[in-house]
Amino acid sequence: MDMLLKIFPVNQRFSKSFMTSLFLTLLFACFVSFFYLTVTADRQESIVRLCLVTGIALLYFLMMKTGYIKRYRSIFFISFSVLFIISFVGHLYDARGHMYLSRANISQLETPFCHIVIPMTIVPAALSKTIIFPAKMSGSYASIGSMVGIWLLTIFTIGRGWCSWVCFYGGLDEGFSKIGKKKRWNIDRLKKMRLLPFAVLSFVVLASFLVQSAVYCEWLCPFKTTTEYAQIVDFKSFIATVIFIGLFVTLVIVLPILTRKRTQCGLFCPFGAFQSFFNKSTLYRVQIDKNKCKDCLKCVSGCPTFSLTKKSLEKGKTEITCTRCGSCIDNCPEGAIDYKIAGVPFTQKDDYFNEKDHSKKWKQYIAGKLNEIFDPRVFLISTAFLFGVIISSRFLTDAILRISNLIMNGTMLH
Amino acid sequence: MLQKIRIIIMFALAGMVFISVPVYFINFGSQSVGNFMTRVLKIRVDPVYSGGELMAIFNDPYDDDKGIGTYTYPDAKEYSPYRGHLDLVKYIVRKPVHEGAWSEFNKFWVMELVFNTLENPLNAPAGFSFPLINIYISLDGKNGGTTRSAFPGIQASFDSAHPWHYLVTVHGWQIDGSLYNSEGKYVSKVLVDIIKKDDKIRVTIPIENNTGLETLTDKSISYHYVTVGNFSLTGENHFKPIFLSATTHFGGGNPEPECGPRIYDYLQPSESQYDILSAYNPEKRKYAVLRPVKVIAGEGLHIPDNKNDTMDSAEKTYQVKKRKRKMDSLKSLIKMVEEVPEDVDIKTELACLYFEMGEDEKALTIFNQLTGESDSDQSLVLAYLGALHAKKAASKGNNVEKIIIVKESLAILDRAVSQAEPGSLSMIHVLMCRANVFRSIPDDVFGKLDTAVADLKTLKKISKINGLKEIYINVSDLLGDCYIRKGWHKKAVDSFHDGQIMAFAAGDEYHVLKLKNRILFAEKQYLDHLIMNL
Repeated sequence: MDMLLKIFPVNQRFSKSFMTSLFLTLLFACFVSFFYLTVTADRQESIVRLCLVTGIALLYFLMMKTGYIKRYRSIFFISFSVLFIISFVGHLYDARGHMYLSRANISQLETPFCHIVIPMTIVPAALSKTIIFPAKMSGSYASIGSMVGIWLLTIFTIGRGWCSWVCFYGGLDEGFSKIGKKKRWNIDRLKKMRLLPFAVLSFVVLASFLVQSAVYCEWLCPFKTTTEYAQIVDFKSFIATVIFIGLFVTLVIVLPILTRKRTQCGLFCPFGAFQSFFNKSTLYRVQIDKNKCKDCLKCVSGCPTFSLTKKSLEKGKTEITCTRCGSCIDNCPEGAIDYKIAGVPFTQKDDYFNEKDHSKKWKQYIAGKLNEIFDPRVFLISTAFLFGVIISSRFLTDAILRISNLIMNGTMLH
Repeated sequence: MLQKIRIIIMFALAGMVFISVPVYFINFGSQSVGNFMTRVLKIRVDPVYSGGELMAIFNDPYDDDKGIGTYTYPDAKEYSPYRGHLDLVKYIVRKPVHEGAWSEFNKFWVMELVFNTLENPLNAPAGFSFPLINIYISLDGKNGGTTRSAFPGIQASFDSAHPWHYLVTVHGWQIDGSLYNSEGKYVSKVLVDIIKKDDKIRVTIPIENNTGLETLTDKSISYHYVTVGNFSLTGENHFKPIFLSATTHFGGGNPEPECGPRIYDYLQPSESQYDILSAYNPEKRKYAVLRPVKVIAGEGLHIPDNKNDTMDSAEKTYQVKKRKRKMDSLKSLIKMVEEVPEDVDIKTELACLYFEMGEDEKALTIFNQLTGESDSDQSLVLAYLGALHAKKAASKGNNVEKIIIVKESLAILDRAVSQAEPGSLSMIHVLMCRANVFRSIPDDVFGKLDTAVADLKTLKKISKINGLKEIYINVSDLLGDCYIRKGWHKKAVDSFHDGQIMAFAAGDEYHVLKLKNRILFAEKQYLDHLIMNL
C-alpha cells in the first residue's frame, strides 16, 4: 500500500478509504462490463475489451482513492480522442475507401451527426421541421437520434461536463495544452475572450438558419482535419479545407501549447457555449467555499476553459462555461472547491452519518462508509465517466484492434 | 431535513444514472429518439441533401434488357451472368433544387437510375463498366427541340409530339457526364455519383443561368426518353453495335443490325418496350420511334415490379402479344356468335379459342353443345373434349382416378383421329390435340410417346406442304422435345434446327432465339451422352 501511495500520491482531503474505493470501482466496473463484455466478440477482441475494462476500472479507482480528478480524467480523455481518430478514420477507409465525404455519401445521408451540429439545427428544426444536415434520423451510431438522445441526457446530468468527459475531440487540445511546462502566453488577461464562443455560437446559429445549412461544419470546424472533410472538387471546397487545417493548427495545436489552455473548447467551440446554458439545469455544480479561499488564484490560472475569474471567486461559483474537469479542485491548496448537488447546501465533508449516536460499532462502520459513498464528487465522477466510457466503448476497442493489426499485419484496416 | 433531501436526491441520481442510461442505450437508443422526431415531431432531414423532393418514380420491368425482345449480351466473360448489367429497373426524378447545400451546384436537378446490377469488372473510372445512359428531355411549352438524335449511333428517333431539348449522356468511362442541347452543342458537365449498395447512378444536372434550364420549377412538366445502351469505346458515339448473333465483344439477337435500335433497355411508358423498339422498318430505313414518360410532380407512372416473376420477359411479352391477339379474336367471335347463334363453325372456333386461353369450363360447355350436332366437325369436337378430359385428370388427387380419366381421354382422342378426314385442316387440330396429350402423359405408364412422335411427324409434313410456318415451328419444337425425352439427341437437334430455319425465314426472332437455346441444350445433352458411353 505504501508503495502504491508513493506512486499515486493521495489528496488527503478527498480521498476515500481503500474498501470504499474498491466497492465503488467494482460497482462501476460492473456497469462498464455491461457494455464491453456482453457484446459478441472474437477471442482477440474479448481480450482487448477485458483489458480496457480493467484499465478504466483502474483509472476510476485511482480517482476515488487519491481524490485527484483531472490527472486521471486527462489520461482517459486524451487517449479517447486519439483512439477515436484512429478508429474513425480506419472505419472511413473500411467503409468508403477514402477519408473524404463524397457527394454520394452526402446524398445517402451518410454524414455522421456530431454533437457540435445540434445548436445549428435546433432553430430550423423548430421553424421548418427540417434538419439542415445530411445525416440519418436514426439507425446508425452517429445518427441524429442517437446524438440528440445522448445530448438530452446530458442536459440534466453533467451539462457542460460533456466537454471534459464525453467529447471525442476535446482530448486533442487538452493533450496539446499539456505539452511544455511553462505558459508562453498568458491569455487570461484577455478577459473578453471568453465571450468569443458565444459570439461564434450566435453567428453560426444565425448564419445556419439564414442559409439553411450547418455553416460551422461547412466552413469552420477544425476537427474536419482529423476526421472527414468535404471532397476537394472546386475552389470553394479547397478554401474550406484550408480553413479547417488553419483553424486546427491554430486552435488545437499552437495556441494550447502556448497558453496551456484548451483554446478550441474555451474560445471557439459553439457547442461548448451552447452547452453552457444547460449548466444551470444540471444537478451538479462546482462551488467555492469563500471562507476557505485564500485568493491564491491557482484555480483561475489552472482553469483550461477560462471559467474562473476573480469575480466568480467572489461569488463563490464558477462561470457558466465550467466543464467540471476538476482542475480547480485538484489545484486548490485549501480544498475550498468541490462539486455539489444543486439545491443542497454546500458543506465540505458532511458528517451526517458520523454525527449520529451509533451505539454499535458495525453501525458506525457502515455509517462511515455510506458517508464516503454519498458524496457529490462520487456521483459526478461516476455519471460523467460512465457517459464517456459508453460513448468511447466502441472506438477504444476498435482502435486498439487496428493498432495491433498494424503491428502484426502491417495494415490498420479490418 | 436538508441532509435527508440530499440523500434522497443522491439515491435518485444513482438510480437514474446507473439504470436509465444503460437501459436507454441498450433497449431504445437512437431508434426511439429518431422515430419520435420523425413521427411525432414530424421532423425530417432537409431533402436538399438527398437531391431534392421526389417528383416522380418510374418502375421498369426486371429482365427486360433484351432490346426488341431478342437482344443478348456479348459472350465475353465480363458480361457474366449475361443479364442485369444493362437492366434499368427504376428511374427517379427529383424536384429541381434552387438553393443547394453542400453541393457543387447551387441550382440543380437530380435524376437517379437504379439498375438490376451495377458492376465494374472492367474497372471503369466512374465505377460502372457497361451502361451507356442517354436521357433525352423534352420540356413542355419550350419551343424548338428535335425528333432526331443529336448523335448517330442510337438508331432510334423520337416522338414528334415531344421533341427533345436536352440530352444527358452518362457512361462509366468518364467521371462526369455531359449535357447537350438539341443542336448537339455541349452545355455543361453533369455530376455522376455511384451508390454501389443500391446499384444506383445519380445524375445531377446544373440548372444555372447559362444552361437554359433555369426556368424549371417544381411544377414544370417534362418528357423523358431514358435509354440504356452498351458502352463501346470505339462505337459510333459509344454505342456498341448489336448483330444477329452474339460474339465475344458484340451482343446478338438483332435481325437488322443497321436499323434495329442499339438500346438494350428503355424506360417504357404505358406501351411495351418490345413493341416500341421493334417498330422500325428496315426496308424504308425508318428507325423505331421512342415514346417518352411524362414527368410531373406526384404523377409518376408506376409499373409494378416483377422481380419475383420467374417467367422470361421475352417469352412473357410474346405470350402477352399472343394473348392480346386472341383477346381481340375472342371479342369478335363472341359478337358473331351472338349475331348468328346457329353457326356451328363460329361456335367451334370460339370453343377452340376458349380452350387455348385456358377457359376450360366455357370451352367444355360449347363442345358439349356441339356434340351430336350434325353440321359440326365431330372429330374436332371429340379431339378437344378428349384434351379437356385429360386436363381434368391433372386436377385429380387420386392416381387411380387419374389413370381412369386419362385412359378415357385417350380413347376419345383415338376416336377423334379415326373420324378425322385425312389431309383436312381439322386433322391438324385433332393430331395436335392428341400429340400434346400423348407427349404430356408418362410414357412408362401409358406408352404413348411413340404415337405422339408419329403424330408430330405427320403434322410436320402437313404443315410443310400447306406452308403453315407457325405450326411447323411449334411442331419442330415439340418433336425435338419428344426426341430428347426418348434420348435421341441428334434427332432432337435436327428437329430444332428445322424449326429455327423456318422461324428465321418467317422473321420470328423469338423462336430463332428460343430454338437456338434448345439446340445448344440438346447438343450438350448429346455430348454428355457420348462422353458417358465412352
